[in-house]
Amino acid sequence: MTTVAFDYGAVTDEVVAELKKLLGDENVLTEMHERAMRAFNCAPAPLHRWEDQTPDVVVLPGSTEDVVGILKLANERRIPVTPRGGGSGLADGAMPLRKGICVDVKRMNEIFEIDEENSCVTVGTGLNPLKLNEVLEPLGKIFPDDLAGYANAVLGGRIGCGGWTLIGGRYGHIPDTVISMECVLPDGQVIWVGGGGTKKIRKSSSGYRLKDLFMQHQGTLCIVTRAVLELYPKPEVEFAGYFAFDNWDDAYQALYDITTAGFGTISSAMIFDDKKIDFLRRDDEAFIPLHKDVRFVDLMTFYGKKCEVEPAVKEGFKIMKARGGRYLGPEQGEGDWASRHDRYHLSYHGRTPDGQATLMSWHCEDTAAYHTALPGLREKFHEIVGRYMEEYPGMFDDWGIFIYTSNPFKGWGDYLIEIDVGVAELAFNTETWDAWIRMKKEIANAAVDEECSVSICHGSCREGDDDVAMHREMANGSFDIMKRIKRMIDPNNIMNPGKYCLDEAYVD
Amino acid sequence: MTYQLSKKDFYAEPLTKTKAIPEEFVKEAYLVFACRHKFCRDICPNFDLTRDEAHTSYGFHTSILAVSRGVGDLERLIDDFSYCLECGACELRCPNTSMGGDFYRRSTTTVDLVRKVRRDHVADGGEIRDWAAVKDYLDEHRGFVAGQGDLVTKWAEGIKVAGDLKTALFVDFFTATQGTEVPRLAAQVLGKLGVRFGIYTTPGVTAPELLSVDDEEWKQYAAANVANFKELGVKTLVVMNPHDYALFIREYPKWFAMDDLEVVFVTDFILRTMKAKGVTPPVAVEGRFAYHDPCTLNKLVVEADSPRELVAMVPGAEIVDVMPANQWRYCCGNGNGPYRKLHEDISYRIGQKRLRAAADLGVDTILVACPHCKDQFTDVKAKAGLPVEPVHVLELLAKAMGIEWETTSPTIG
Amino acid sequence: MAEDILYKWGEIEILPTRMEKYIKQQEMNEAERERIVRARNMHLDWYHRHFAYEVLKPPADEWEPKA
Repeated sequence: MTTVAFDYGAVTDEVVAELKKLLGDENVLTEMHERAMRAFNCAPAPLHRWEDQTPDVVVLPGSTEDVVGILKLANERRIPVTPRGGGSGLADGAMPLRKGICVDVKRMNEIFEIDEENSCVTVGTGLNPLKLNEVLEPLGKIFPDDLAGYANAVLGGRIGCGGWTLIGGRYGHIPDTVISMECVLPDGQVIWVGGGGTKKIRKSSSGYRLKDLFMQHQGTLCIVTRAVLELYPKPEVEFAGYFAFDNWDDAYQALYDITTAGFGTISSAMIFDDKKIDFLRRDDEAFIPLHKDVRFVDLMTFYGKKCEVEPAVKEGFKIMKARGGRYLGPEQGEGDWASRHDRYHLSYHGRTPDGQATLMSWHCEDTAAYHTALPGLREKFHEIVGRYMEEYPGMFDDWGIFIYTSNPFKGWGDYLIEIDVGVAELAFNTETWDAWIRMKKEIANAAVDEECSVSICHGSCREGDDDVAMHREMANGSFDIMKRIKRMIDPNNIMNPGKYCLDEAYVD
Repeated sequence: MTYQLSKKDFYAEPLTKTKAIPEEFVKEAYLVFACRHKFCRDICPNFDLTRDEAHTSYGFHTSILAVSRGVGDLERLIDDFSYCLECGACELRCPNTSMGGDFYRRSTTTVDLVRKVRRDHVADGGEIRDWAAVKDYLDEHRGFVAGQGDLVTKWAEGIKVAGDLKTALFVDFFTATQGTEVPRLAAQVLGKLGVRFGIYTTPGVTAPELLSVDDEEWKQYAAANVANFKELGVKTLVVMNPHDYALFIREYPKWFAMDDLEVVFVTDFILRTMKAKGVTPPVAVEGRFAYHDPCTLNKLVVEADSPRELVAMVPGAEIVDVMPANQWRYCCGNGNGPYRKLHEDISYRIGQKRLRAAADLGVDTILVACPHCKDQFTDVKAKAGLPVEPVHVLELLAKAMGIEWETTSPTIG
Repeated sequence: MAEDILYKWGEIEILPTRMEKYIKQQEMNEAERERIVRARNMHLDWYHRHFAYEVLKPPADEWEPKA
């Protein structure tokens, strides 16, 4: 990454006083621990240099006007700003690289309007999707944003990373389920981007597709303060079927068969590979037994009207069984599917080489791959992690691979191939952190070698990913355009600076 | 009821501003930090309003971990640690507990953590901001101890209490002074059911607030109770206040052998007695009611069914509220400790939100099973002007059992 | 299981010897474990209902319910 010197302003007492005047004392946090807890997100963190990532001040705006005031002040004083939603991202989008002001949007959680007739809802971006759905439930509606962080993410972060959901094959992902957004630019200008120049139109051919531009930028272009979201009818039924396979080839082919069969109600399909099954057996027996002869597992899920789902499920069974799949039963399906957000990342899952339970943080890669790239990537990822496990015993652990369908509204297309890595985060020092970054870079490069994308959902702005993503994956001219846009919209480089190698935008 | 033992021995070591955070505590803090998923956050009724993640299980644990890494000062944490309702929602929702706690025998214990940090801070010479009202409350209770015999039985005036202390009603100071309808109606219902019981007259200071200041003092009162129960031959203790019930079930077993004593919450006892005797309430009370699960039953002990089952037995009565798991996100706003006295405004707003949710169900009465909930909702209703009357389930049951009692509920009358 | 576990009274748990060095167990009795399981099941039930009105059972000819 090119190092560029920026003449940033400091967060002085005077700046803090101005922020307090703008937001109220209680919404400007200066205590060290309050700032420190907003240094990281869900990805393994450089705990050995915690203070480097700690913002100088945290502000909790309650409205678009508050955000305008904050950004105007920051822009004027050239103070770095890191927007923070749930802090549950996995690409360090919310980790400040230059300290400065952390803008924690969670107070902006109002539901402004539920428009049942036009099937949309307008919300503040500090709102959590589960809390939204608690309000929608009595109306028979749902906002189907089903991510691992469902219980704690907020819409701002979801938009900031261009979020993915476990049931996107049926309902679409965040780029599909967000209709329009209100954005505050670094100079304080407030714009609304959506279908053309509207708030509730989904598909327009007026002008540029600006909604796409202001999504997924990890807070490097603006702060999104409000959003209009799709409303779906709450599904009549759900079905999750888990099928055991004793070999990779059949599991892989069954995934292809089920996703290309043409179902309308298929919401996701997955493979748990053999190392993932072994990993789950460390404590899976706690409530969902897996038989010893289960080596790979495919999952198919359906949501929708019973009259559509029921026949689809029958057909799905035939497809899975035709490849040798053995149904694992409703207890497995219902138990595991309902716990899909909760149980894969416990830090007790860590094991030392001598079999002791130990504390490891869970890391999850999220390569976007097409179907024929999956077998090679699966082998490569395991090989990479295996090497680092050998070189740094006890520091890393292979927690297996998930493969998920990943295209909106259909089963086939792209897949998320995710290798989960246990990381002994408490033991990080400079050497092991650098090893970690090297491992991540190898994984990212392996993806790009196959013309796949470094990230399907988290974002690729993490250290280790960003270099590969920007200088290899996006080297087709895309990174050049990103730089031009960044510099145009954020001339002082205050918005989440350092992410996505975008400092290079300012090299003349 | 069965005693639920969950105890971490390393909690005995104090955290002080002059010593490094002990290693076991670093791991304890890390366990929650490492989860990162922060499911503990949006289920927290306090966070729901303040939106400040410093006031969550994740925030509490992460700030301790940060201090252990030299990023923060222990004594500066105490203000944020005052924002805990001690309701237990975050502990249940934490995947460490929910998905791994039983397998690993290691779970998240945020309520214990919060109380410990406050205690250690006080023992280390620190003060807790705005603590005066809590101190006054505890002093008032300490003052009751000398004359508790009369105080604890005054509510029973005019009621025949026939029996010895084999089955004893446990009435704490709060219930004896501010929630008197609860033991009064319980005694009358039990009398109608032909149960012989006595009143335990020396409960001592049981307030969970004391656990945030001096657990040794709390244990002294508890030890006296345990000794007295034995001496008096108490076999079954019927507890009126679910805060105390949760302490008996979850706190007492940490320190005392409780095998000879059965502790039962009042609605559990009444329900099982009615079932054993084949009694159903004879008087119909037609109505649709909201019902608020007490945090102490629903989230700490996780035995929340008996009040609902009692209501279901009343002909014509129907609870139209959400199920117990949906209520983990609720609290009346009182909290299971000093919260209401420390954060009056947020406490009110939490209660207001809960009463509004009840009002949205189109009812005029919210049934409760906790005298603190009733007290809190009464205050909130008056301030907010919401048309939902808080009424204890025993008031509904008493009416259905033909016991004369004027409730404030428009429906029960 | 990928590793040995304890199996007592129909409940499964980690071998305590695996929790001796890095992360230790707390004192926890069976009632507390049952409480955790109870709460987990409440949560899982709620989660299903939260996302759909009904969980479809597998086709009758594909799975026989346990007696």
